[in-house]
Formats: sequence, structure tokens, C-alpha cells
Amino acid sequence: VKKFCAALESVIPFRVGKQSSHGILLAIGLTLVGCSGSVTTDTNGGDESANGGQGGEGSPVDGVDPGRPKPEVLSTKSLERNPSHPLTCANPMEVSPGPSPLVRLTNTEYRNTLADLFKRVGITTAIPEADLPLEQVVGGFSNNAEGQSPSVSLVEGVESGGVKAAVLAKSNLKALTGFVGCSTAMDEAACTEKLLTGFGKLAFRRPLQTEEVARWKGYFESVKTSGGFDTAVETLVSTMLQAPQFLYRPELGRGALKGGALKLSGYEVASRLSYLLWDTMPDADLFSAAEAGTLDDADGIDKQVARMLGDPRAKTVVADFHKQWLDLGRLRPNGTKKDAASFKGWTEPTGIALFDGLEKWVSEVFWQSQNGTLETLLTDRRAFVNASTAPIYGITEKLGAELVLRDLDDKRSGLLTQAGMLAGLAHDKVHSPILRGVFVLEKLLCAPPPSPPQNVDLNAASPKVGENLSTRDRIVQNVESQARCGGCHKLIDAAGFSMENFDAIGAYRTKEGTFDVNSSASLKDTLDADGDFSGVVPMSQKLGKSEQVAQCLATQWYRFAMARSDEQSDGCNIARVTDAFVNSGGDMKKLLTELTRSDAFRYRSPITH
Amino acid sequence: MSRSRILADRRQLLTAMGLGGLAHLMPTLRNSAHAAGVIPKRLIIFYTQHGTEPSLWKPRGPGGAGEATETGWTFAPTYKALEPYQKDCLLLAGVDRRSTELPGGKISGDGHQNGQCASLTAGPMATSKYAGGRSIDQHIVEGLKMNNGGISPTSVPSLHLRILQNLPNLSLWGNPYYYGASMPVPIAHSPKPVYDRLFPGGVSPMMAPKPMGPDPAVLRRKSALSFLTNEFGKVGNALGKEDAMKLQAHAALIRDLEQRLDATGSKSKVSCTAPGSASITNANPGSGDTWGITSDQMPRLAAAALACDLTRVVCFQVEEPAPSAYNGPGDIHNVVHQLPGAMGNPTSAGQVTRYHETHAKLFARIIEQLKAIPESDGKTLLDHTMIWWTGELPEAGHGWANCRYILAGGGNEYFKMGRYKSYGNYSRGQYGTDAKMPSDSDLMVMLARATGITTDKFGTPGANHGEIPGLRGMV
Repeated sequence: VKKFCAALESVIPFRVGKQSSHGILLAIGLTLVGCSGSVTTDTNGGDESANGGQGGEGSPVDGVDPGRPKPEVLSTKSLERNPSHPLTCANPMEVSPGPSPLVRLTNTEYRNTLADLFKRVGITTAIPEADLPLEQVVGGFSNNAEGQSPSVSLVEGVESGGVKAAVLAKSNLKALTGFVGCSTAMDEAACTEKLLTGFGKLAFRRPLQTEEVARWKGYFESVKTSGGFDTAVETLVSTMLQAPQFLYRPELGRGALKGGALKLSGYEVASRLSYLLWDTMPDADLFSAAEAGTLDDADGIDKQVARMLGDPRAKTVVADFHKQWLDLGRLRPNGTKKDAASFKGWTEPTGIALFDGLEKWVSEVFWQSQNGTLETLLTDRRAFVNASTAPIYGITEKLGAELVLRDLDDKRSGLLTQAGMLAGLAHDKVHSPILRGVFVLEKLLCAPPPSPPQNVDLNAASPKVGENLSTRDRIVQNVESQARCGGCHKLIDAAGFSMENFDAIGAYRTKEGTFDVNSSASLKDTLDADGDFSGVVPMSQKLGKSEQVAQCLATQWYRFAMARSDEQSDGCNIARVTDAFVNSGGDMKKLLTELTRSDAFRYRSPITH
Repeated sequence: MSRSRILADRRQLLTAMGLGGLAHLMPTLRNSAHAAGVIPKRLIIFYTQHGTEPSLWKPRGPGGAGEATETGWTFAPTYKALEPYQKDCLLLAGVDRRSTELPGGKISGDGHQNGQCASLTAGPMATSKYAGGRSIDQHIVEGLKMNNGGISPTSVPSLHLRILQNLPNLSLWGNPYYYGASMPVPIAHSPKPVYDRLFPGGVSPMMAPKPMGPDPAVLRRKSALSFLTNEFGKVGNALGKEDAMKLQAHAALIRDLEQRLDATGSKSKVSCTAPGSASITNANPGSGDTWGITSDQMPRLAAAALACDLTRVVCFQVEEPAPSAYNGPGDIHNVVHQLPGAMGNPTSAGQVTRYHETHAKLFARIIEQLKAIPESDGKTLLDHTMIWWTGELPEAGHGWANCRYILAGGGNEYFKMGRYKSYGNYSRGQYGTDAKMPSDSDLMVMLARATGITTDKFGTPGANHGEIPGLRGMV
């Protein structure tokens, strides 16, 4: 029977794991002909298979996944929201997850995972900080797999961090062995088994495969022979914390679908959810959901997402997303470094308060129950202010150092009029219509202008000549008039000029020195935001309703959620997520839910060796 | 047990017998070139931003007046801090970033981005932010490994340190040091983790008392790393080709670390002391006196690491100083950008001058520290080190021709020091296919050779002419 089953397995075009042993993957066809029992074992009671617990009840049948929501038909409009970069969707009915590169834990994820792992096993002492190198930022985000090339300092930092954490584990051996179920009556061999399967399952975020258990057991025993049981546990912990299964998130999927995509296992989905929404390993509920198979369909994922968004950890992640999307890491030092002679009373703490206030405001807008929408983000008239920043907003109320939420006047409208943004998109003395315009095109419309010609200084302040002109006029005369610059700058500047009423620290004005401010602006070549505007307020209102901006925000979240840049093959997914986002009235939390329901999140690309 | 392990144990035995001073006479399998007291050659790259203002840099004639000649020169007033070390310095003017002028060398983006990518790779950018190839420091690291049977001769292949007040914008700017295309080398920005990495427990690993037999903790670490190398392979086998390659690269670094646990460094040092742990602190960029902390502690860590032969390649990335450190403007870049015209404005000229002076003082302090550390041949650490002051832009004002470099050190039996060499003053685009002007690629080849590496070419094909004439020779 075994021989027959093995032969049958080899010709079945898709893989389904179900508690198999020795690395054999079972196809559903094997079950149908009674092969399942012949090759299946369950050594540790978990969802164990040759690909690491990837199998389960939610596996596709006949190349079709019953847990996949029926895909909506995509309209032409859904694919053409961004005139600069129309989407393509070759086969809308087929699962097309796009690339699925191997992702490594970010520094934050590593630290959070280590802390949570130790907490789970009953070790609450603070873990010594690992010295990890700063991440590369690719495509705007530091979790992008493309930027995760390993380095000497990463390997050293992880080794040193693992060794230090393991010392802590050894000194809390009782807690650790107690957690995995070792008892005084149990011999060391049995306890070892429990350690490997219990601690290993948490560290690798899935049950260990049979082969893995054997490998790690052999390693454990070799250390135990020379150093004793306690030392072997310490070494096991330090080694697991450096292992690829811990540092990376290998995803093997299961059950090939038509087109070749693989459905992710429940444990793989649990990890994706947990790292997207919490920056850490799955909690006990997610482990249970993975084991029970409730993450195999989109509705089961929805329930977890709703629960997870209610956790404070989600707030930290959402704040981090906005910080990266809006480039606040760059804008903050720019916005806090101002010329004190040009701005009376300006101090560095003023700039810090502007940016702290900006970040709090973004969080406030996102999480408010009714109006956490894209439109609110671009039109909300409130700000977090304190004694030093209130005057910048024209607020005369006496305030202390604490940031408090206050209503603003009608000269402001949402993100583009937050003083932190305006100060960040400016130089130390003068504002920058160019930086502000590029921000609108790149971050809100996802229509970045081409790179400047060679040897143009991106950080240069206003043009050198024309001291007797306003900043706007100098740019028009010196930059837009140049043949090699004008084409792009007319688009860039037209958006940036909308914010001329705001100086380099974000304060409202009607004059720039002796010159009257002209904040007339225009947008063109957009899907639905074109127009002439008498300043940033009407422009923001139009952008807030724009489906191109909606798709842009969806795309940014998509990159963040998938930890990679988007590609042509992502067209179907981005269009669908945007459709749902737009239909929800631009609800930003709904956008997150839709992302986790998407094919890109629940499936992976075929594995090509 | 390997032969090197046995020999290391013999040294430990001698140490235990009070004969540790003889240990450097003992041969080892690894570092055999140093066994007879051959002192290693080291390299420091000192990398600053915003280029050099020519009028402030150009050496003067003897006594500070008139035209400088090759041997008759003095430092310009802005570089007065280097005067005590004039005979240890070699000034170069008229070297060009030739690599960017050649086919395939054209790069996009702004001058700073170009400079960060091209200045140490002598090649084009891979993206709008990252370089397209390996930088010279890593070229040398690989050469040192090759010279040592494929294993790094030191426990830290290269040390990358940032001196800064604020972290640069990492989403826009990369860094100048690269393992390979789009693979920047991480740069440490806080001294304390560097100290812990170099001197665990507050002592140099080389000078720490060793157990009589093999150190069980080290053996366990090696065993773990060996197991992990295999585990990376196993996991990679189940993944696709690209993912497997990523894990293979990670595994190679683990294997490298495993091998480096045996690295003993040179036995030629006379003294090797870890800095007092209390004198090394954490720095939090963007707050407090981060410039003061990093500009004091990073050079001391570098000197100690070189003296203890924990590394032979140190790379500094010197960011803008805190304005309070040199009475500078909020944004020195905007001032530098207005050069050379800004030199006519006394306020701007003063700011740019102090900006360069701050770097010169820091550079002088590094020289001074190396000069204070004796080595076994009666000379000093400086005598066995080359320090190269380079930067992202050749000229302040964002010009691309006319790199001005200061080399310092003992020449490493390669460069003849104490001179000023100028190769002319020409403008960008002057090169033809048969151009004979010296290039920065040529200089990098020479620096690699001065560090003991056999190499003929570096950077964009066609950028090398060979050695820059007139630089070689013993003092």
C-alpha cells in the first residue's frame, strides 16, 4: 500500500500536507484512496507535516481553494485610478499573489519576538539588548525584503544577542522546563523532547517537523554529552534564536492552485497577521486559530484582525507605518532644525513638539471610530499643540508643555497643513514649494516626478539669483524657465505653491517678507484631482475624495504589509483592495482588513528551485 | 584538535608560566606572516561630507607664504591642527573621480548621492540610493582574507564607525561603504555596543586570561555556528532559488564568524589595552551631545581595536558636527552650497572655515592617538597605518573635479610621506580615452597595496591607469 501511495503521490500535481512523516506530503487524492493512514503519524499532537505544519483542513482541492472569497470582477476604472501607473490584471479569477520573497524579522520584530517568547515561557526578566545594525530602507519601508541582505554585524549581533538571552533562559530553567511540561518524575530524554517541541514551536512559530526534531535533538545531545543538561538547554536556546526558522519567516505554503500559487498554512498566516499588526510573534489565540484551521478562510482572518486591531500593539504599528509612509523620520530632523534668528522664539523643543503633535494627530485621525477615513486625514481641522507650538497655529490659549488637541481655524485642512509637515518640507530659513510639491505627487498621488538631472542638489535651498523676488517667483523664473527643469517643475511647483501661505515652521502668513503671498495652485494629469485651487484647503478637500489618492494609500499599505515593493503582477490585488477601500468611504481600518483578505496576503508564489 | 588550537594552548601555557612575553615568538598556522614579529599594515578611511573648499585647503609655501612645492610647504591655516604631523602627511591635489566619466560610470541622482555611492566604490550607482559595487575597504578585507588562507586574520574584519550629531536621512542617503551592489555595510553610531563587541568583559579578547585547555564556551559557540550553517542550508533547500541564495549568504557569514573565533591577530603588539569601560557610553543621535561623545570615543575605540589587532581596517563616516561644536549654522549644507561665492561673505566664510577646522582637529587627534601607541619594532601604531581623508564630494560647492586628499601615517613601506603633490587643476569632462590624469581608482589600488593586498584594478573598468606617479618610496 505504501509503495502504491508513494507512486500516486508523485504524480499528483498539488501538495497537501496532513500530519505526514518523513517529509512526505500527501495529496488529497491519497486520502481518498486510503493512503493517509499508511504514512501518517502524529508525534507531538500538533499539526505536523513535512513542510512544518503547513497542511490542514483548509488545503485546496483540485487546484481550487474553497476558503477563497469569490473574486469580484474588476472594472477598467479599478485598474486605471493612477494615470501615471495603470494596473494590469491578466487573469482576474486566478489567484495571483505576486512575489513572495523570504522576509527577515526587522529589528523591532526581533526584539519584540524575543521578549514575547520569553514571557510566554515564564521568563519576565528584561532581556539584554541585542546590537543590531540599522535596516536599509527600500521603497520607503524598512521591512522591505529586498533591503535585508545579511551583514557581518547582523550575524554578530544576533549571535551575541542569542547567547545573552540564553544565559537568562538557563538561569530561569525551572520556568522554561515547567512551561514545556517537564516534571521531576520525567527523565531527561522525555524532557528534551518536550523542550524541542514546546519551546521550538514557539520560537519557530509552528510545530517542528519530524526531521527537524531529530536534527535538533542530535545537536542537543551532543552538547549535553560535554556540558550537561542545563548547558545543553542554554545552547539550544541560543542556537534556536539564531536559526533561520526564527530570524526569517520561511513560507512553504501547501496545495498548489490553478496557476501555481500556494495557499499559506494557518501558522504562516498567523505569523503574517502578527508581524503586520503587532510587530511580534503570534499570541496563543493565533496559534490556536492556526491549529484549528480557522485562518484558512478570509472570514476567520477577519475575526482575528478585528481582535488584533483592538490591541495597543496595533497602534504602535499603525504609527510606524505612517512615520515611514510620510517620511517623518527624514522630516523630523529637517523640521526641528530651524534658524532661530529667522523665527523668533524657535527652539529645538518647539520642533520636537511639532512632530510629536503631528504623530499624535495622525494616530487620532486613524483610530477615531467614525471618521478614521482618508478624507478626514486630509481635511481634519485639529492639532495637538502645547505652549511652544500653539502660537504657530495662531492659538492664543495659555497652555503647558503637554500636547493637547485643539480645533484650528479654516485656514488649515488636514495633513498638508499640519505645522510639522510644513516645517519638515522646508529649509531652515525658507519654505520649499518644491519639497512640498514633490511630497504631494509622490506620497499622496503615487505619481513621483522623474529624478532630477545629474548634479542637481536635492537639498539646495531656493535658487541663488533673484533676491528681489518672492520664493515663488524666483522658482518660476529660474527653475521652470529652464528647458531641462521646466517640464517636471511646472507639475511639482503647481502643487507646492498651494502651501505658500505657510512659512518654514508652518505658521500662516499673507506676506513673505515684503511680497504678497500667492497660493494659487493647480493639479493636472491626475484621475480625479485636477483643478485650479486658491490654496491648500480646497486642494486638500479634493485630494481627500480622490480615488487616485485612495489607491496610493492602499499601495503604500500593500508594500508595508507584504514587506516588498509592488510589481506588475500585483495589479489584481491592489485594484481589489482599493475598490473595497473606496466603497467603505475611505475607512483606513477597513483598508487593513481588506489587505489581510487579499490573495497576496493569504497565498504565496510557486517555489522555483 | 587543530594545530592552531594546540599552538594557541601552548601560548596560554607560557602565559600561565609567566612567560607570556615570549608568546609572540611562537609560530601559528594562521597569521604565519606575523609570526616573526611582522607588524600588520592597517588602513583607516576618514570620510567627511560636503567636499573641501579649495581656498581653505591649498597648502602654502614655507613659512605660510608663497606657492607650495612638493617638499616646501606648510598647511593652510584652516588645517593648522595638522602642523605637528606634517612629516607624517602626504597631500594630494588634482585627482579626479574618473570612474564616473567613463561609459557605464554615468550616474543619476544628485551630487551627494552620487558621491556617497561612487567615492569609495569608484563605480556607478545601482539605484538612486545605493552603490553598484564593493567599496575599497571591503576589497581590502577580502584581500586580507585571501592572504590568510581564506579566513579573516582578525576577529573583526572591518570596523565601521559613525561620528555624528544627527542620523542622516537613511531613506534618501545611503552610506559610502558596501559589501557589494546595493549592500551597504552597517555603520555603528553608538560607542558602547562597539566597545562590548570589541572588548567583551572590558578586556581585549587577545589579552584576556585563557583557560588551560580549549575554552568550552568558545567550543560551544563554534559548534552552534557549525550546526546553524547546516540548518540554513536545510531551510534554504525547501525554498526557491533566490531565497536559498539569501540564506546561503547568511550562512557564509556565520561560517566566517565561526572561523574568526579562532583569529588570534598579530603577536607583535607591545601593549594592548581596552579603553576603560566607564569612558565609553551610549549615544543617542539627535539628542544630547552626541557629536561630543562619538568624536571622542569612536577614535579611541578605533585606536584600541587596531592596537589589539582586532581589526586592520577602520572606516569612519563623519557626519555634520553639532552646530554648537563649531559655532556653525543650523544647516551647513546650505552655506557650503553657495560656495565659492559664499567665501565673500564673512559670516559664511567663517562657518565653512570652522567646519573644516573641526574635521582637521578630529583628524589630528586620530593621528595623535595612533602615534602614542608603541609597537614591538620600537615604532608606533601610526607608522604601520595609512589614514585616508576622503569624502563624498571633491569640492565644496559640489564640484566633481579635483579631489583633494590628505594621507597620513607611516607610509606602510609604500608611500613616501611628508610631501605635497599636485597633479594639476583641470575641469570635469577633460578626459579622453587616452587620458593620463590620475584617478581616485588609482589611489585606491595603491592604498590596497599599501595594506598588503595584491591588486591591479578597482572600480569601473578603464578607470585605472596604474600607480599614480611620484607617490611611492620610503621616507
